[in-house]
Amino acid sequence: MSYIQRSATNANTTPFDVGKMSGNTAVSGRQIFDTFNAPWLSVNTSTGVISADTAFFTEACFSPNSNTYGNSRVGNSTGSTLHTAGQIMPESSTSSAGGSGRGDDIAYYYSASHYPTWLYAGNTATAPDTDLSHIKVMRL
Amino acid sequence: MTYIKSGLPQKLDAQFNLYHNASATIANDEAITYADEDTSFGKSFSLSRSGAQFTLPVNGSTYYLEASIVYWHTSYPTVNYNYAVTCWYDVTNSAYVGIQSNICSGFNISEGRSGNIVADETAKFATSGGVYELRLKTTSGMLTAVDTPSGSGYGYVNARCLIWRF
Repeated sequence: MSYIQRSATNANTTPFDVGKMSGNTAVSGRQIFDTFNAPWLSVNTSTGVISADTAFFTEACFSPNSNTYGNSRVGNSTGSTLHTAGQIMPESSTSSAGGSGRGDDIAYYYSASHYPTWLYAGNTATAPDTDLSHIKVMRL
Repeated sequence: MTYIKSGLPQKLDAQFNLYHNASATIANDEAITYADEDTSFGKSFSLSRSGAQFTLPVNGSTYYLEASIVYWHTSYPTVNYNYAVTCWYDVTNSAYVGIQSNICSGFNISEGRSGNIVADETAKFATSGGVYELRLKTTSGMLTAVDTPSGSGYGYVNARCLIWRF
């Protein structure tokens, strides 16, 4: 039997993590969440999929690195529904930009395997602001 | 020195109910009803609800409520600088509770360019139990619905309500 020393910030045991985008890993031209601390979470840098041996809940926040106009949807690439997706509308001084509706920014998902990404981008920059884009992870 | 056994990542002891398909009478202080529940994730728990009201039993659990609507309007493109505020409402004590949300209209120019309208789009509240509903607290007048109609295009999302039990 092996043991590890207990630590208040022990990433081996905490059920929480906050992932980021390094800005250096793209799948189909779009940056992915590739930076995590929890060792129970793995990232496939070829597909953008983050996975674990059991299911976990995520709240993904995407932010473009520039203000423009448009109306974008983000969420999990497989199984995402409109009520789990998030909507990104960067601030713009263009009075005719946008659309007929505006919802929450955050994309939810719960599974052992996630691929949080831009599902649709209509005239909205998908290059990320790597300081603002993040994904909260909770192991349930 | 204290040791723990390795290889045992912790889990959060929690379940969540996810509701969607929102509707409301468009006026101040009106309740918002989420007609459907998404149980596909397999983490839901039994919860009594009637119309817009959720009855959270007092049984030692802590509940965390977070809900968002869609600011939907049919007066495109003349809806600049409008917004809606939602907040959880304690039905038993007839009082607004928690952190209210503020959601702007679909025009990018409306977010952050019209005074005090930048805020979280999700209303939040934590409680040990009671009867609660989400309410449309105030609206600036151009709101026509609190959810996206079906078939509205690729860029839109739907309203949703998450109730966590810890």
